Amino acid sequence: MSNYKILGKGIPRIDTPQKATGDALYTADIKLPNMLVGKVLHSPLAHAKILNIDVSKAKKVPGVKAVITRDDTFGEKWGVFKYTRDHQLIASDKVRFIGEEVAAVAAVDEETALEALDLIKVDYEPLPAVFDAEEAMKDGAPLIHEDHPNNINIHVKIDVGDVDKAFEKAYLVREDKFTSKDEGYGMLEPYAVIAYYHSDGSIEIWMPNASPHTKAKALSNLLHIPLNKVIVRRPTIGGAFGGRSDIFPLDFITSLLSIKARRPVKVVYTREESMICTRQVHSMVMYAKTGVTKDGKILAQDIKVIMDGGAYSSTGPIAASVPFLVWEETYKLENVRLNSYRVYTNKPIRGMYRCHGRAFLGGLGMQLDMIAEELGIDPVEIRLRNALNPGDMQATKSKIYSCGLKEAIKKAAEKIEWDKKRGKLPFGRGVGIGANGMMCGFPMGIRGGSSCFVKFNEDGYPTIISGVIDNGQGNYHAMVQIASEVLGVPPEEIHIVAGDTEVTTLDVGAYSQAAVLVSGNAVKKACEDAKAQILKLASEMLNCSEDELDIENKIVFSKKDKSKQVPLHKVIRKGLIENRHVMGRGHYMPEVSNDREWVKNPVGQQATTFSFGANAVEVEVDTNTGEVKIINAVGFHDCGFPINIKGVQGQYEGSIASGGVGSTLKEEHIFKDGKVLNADFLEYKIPTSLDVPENVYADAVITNDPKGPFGAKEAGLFGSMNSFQAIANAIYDAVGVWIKDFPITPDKILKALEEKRLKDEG
Amino acid sequence: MRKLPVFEVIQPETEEELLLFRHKYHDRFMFSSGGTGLIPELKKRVYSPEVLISLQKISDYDYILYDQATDTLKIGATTKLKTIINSDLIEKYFSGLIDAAKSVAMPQVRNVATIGGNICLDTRCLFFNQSYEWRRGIDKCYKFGGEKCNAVKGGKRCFAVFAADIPIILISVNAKVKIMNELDEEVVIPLKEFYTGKGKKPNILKEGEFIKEIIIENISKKEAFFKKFRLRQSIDFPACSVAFSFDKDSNGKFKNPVAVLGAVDSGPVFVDLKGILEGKNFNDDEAIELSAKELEKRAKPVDNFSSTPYYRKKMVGILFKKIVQSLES
Repeated sequence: MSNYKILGKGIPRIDTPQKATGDALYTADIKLPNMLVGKVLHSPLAHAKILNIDVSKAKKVPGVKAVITRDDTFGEKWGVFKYTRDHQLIASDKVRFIGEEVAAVAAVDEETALEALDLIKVDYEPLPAVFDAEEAMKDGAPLIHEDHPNNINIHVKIDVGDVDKAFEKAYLVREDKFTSKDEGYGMLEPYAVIAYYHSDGSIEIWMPNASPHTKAKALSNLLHIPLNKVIVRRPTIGGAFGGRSDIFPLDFITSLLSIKARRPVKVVYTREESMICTRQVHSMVMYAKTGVTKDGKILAQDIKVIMDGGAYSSTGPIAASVPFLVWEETYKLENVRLNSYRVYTNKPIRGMYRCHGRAFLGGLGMQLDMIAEELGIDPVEIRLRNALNPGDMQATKSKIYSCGLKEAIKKAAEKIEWDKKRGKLPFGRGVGIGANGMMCGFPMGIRGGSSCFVKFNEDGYPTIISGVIDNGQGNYHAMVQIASEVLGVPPEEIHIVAGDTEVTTLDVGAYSQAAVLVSGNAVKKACEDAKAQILKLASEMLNCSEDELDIENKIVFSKKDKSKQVPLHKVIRKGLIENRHVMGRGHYMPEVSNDREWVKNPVGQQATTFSFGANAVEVEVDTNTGEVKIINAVGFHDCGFPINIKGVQGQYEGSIASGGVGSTLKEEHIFKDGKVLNADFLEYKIPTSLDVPENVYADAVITNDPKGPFGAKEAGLFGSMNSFQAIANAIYDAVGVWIKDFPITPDKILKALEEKRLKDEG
Repeated sequence: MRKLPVFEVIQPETEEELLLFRHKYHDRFMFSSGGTGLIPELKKRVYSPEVLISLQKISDYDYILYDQATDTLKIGATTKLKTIINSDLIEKYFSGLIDAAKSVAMPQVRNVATIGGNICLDTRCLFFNQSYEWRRGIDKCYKFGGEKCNAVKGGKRCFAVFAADIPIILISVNAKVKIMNELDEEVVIPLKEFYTGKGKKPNILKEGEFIKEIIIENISKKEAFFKKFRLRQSIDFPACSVAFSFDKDSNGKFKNPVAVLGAVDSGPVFVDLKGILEGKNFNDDEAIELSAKELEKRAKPVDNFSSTPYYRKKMVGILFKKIVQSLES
């Protein structure tokens, strides 16, 4: 694969022992002296004016130390962008969904807090509510935010080339509608926050998060505390999947409780609260019109998508754009129009998701296969004909550098034995394929970069200090493996301090697939800086040039003459005594168009580079029941170069479980009148270990990206973002029906099979 | 994380103690056998007893016996599902029960859940098994003592679903249950008569009454099968389930065929298939199709549980056909 000492190998992760032994502390595990228990009162109504909140009785309950409402805030609103600041994080004038936070109590124990909650009296004036995004857009629908006509929160409009003219030239035009239901994330860790306000005006906060610096910034704004006094600590985090990147009401509320009580406060959300009051996943309706040439090349595409965003903006502009961006990162689209609407409804708030856009990406993938069939082209072939190449420019003007998309498609097809199986398996069995590109990062202005420090103790052992955060995907390990390669120190001997805003500098966070590229490049540069200092010192000790030196296993040695060597700690000590302390420093800013803006100007280099992947599955459909079983899943991922091949394979296994079995086949939130009926793991059907496929194969396609650290790119989202199309297409190959509504549950397949049978019988 | 509310737990170790306590705490307590169904609901405050009388420490009710002379299988009510699954006696005389027991929830649950607990499982509904906080702002439904059904608009009764896995196969083989009544007397009744078919109060047990034993007579003369449909391969309650039994040694023909359906109404749905299947061959497709249709007709699911009513109804017939297909092979 390469001559690297540490990179590329599947070595065990540095955090495995802690997790395996239960030594790792998640937020809910942490106990502080004098800590209070917090509980939150949520709105029982979907849409209502708040007339009055009376907390007088609650305050009198013995053991209650703080009660907070809208009156305890500065009235600041938060939103990820200046133009999306629509959320006060505790209800002020009205409530907009069932579950919205209205008040909170901190008390000596949970029973007392619950007793006090029951004594808070809120007078509401109910307002008409709307629970369907298309309904919400109609004239006369109840307005959820008065300054947003037709409840349109975000409208992303992209119009490239001459779409109408190109349609005229098309040999074939198809129009289809695809839909997907509301969804959840299913992180196993319940949401929890601990806040500890100190008398020096600083506040310490622990919570699962995907960007400690973003959390700190929001809290700084909302609490009027400078950033250096907002200390977001680093607990172990039990999964994010895109759903931990934003600021949540509980972060703010717990802080307010601690400030008021002057004691540390912990709130651990129930599963129900975690599923309703942090983030859910957009449901969507997509209308796709596609025109192609006779040989299956996409000439024109006109896409309209309506996403149910729930009551507030959250990461709205990003959510409204990403499914399209992923699509344009995959195929050549010279004439394309997008109208993406994120719409307010009286439902819980929706955020970004690792499998965001199943109706969009699954739908367009299905439509491509429908077109292929009409034209007599193989689904693999139509993908190859439209796939992007290295050096290509995407529709909205991002240049592609390394690109192994076609290789990934071919390898996936070969591995699943496509030619032998597609259209040739017995009724009930089928194969399908999906492919996608993926941005490694977004333009995020000053928040887009990362920096890293490396320090050495006198014994020669290094500590890496980086703002990177790890939600479970292995980012800490990736950083350590990069540092290990550069510094010549074994991974297990490196300590990493990360994701703690007290000591680390601004970092991009772990939610735009940027960690390896951005944080990884910063770590690499910092280590290279430290290494240069070490080699300079060592060259003086060994009387040779720095160029001939290298480090391996904490020994600095001459590559020319192995007898010339000195232990690393002696070099470090020389630096200390001579006032030349070895301190590595590195920073990295992605090469993106900083004037690119999600809504106002969606043109320009969107990410420094892009990863690619293809995923093929073989399914078995029980034609009596409509149940689908994934027999084989194979994935090939152009991740540039795999820092840790086991990590890449693990990501694919997770992708097939969450994006494949979960998002494609099982998961949906059920609502009635704005109330979630299945906010628990009994009725919300995340797959169990018995539901995920046994035969999963994953490998890397190596393209050695010129921008990535050691050629590495993003390594997580290809399987989760294209399982929808692979599985839907395989189901079609198996039983000849297209299911255009996600999740593809057995009842839908059975119904479609019956309809097909009736149609076939005439 | 949801914590349990405060309540007292009593753990009698003998029947004598148990009888004493149930009189002492009278109408302020609930029984808990394995507790696997109950504990999550206590956390959600679906039930709020002051006292929980746990049957876990009473070894008197934990047994599986077979009496050759009467061809009778007796299972103590607190026998764990895991014990049933691992029992050679059950394997030999009533393997269908193992299929049913294996389909309950997941291994961790089956290690503690008991057969008596499963028989006494309360009916379930997406609008009933919800937390105290969730229920704020909506009217009390029938099952909570209110005057409406939140699941079915204008519903005149409680539509909560009979979701236990084990009872339907027991009913299919005419199992009986021994009940300890209020007067400390043992009363034996057919399990079929134990259920009221009512969502609000699914069984006939009065305050303080409990099941001691399950009795299955003439067990070696019966063939019994069980199939369950659920959305995942583990954890889930049934979206629907079917038990099917008939007399053994009938030379490839059905004799006394009976089907019992689960999770498609507020009680087990007993369907005597004699009129359609009696004397018919195992491979009589027409009769089997008619039977499947009859079962679909008798299933009355509403939209208050996993999956859709349309599909659950369909699946009843499909599961039945799958059972019959397995006979032919």
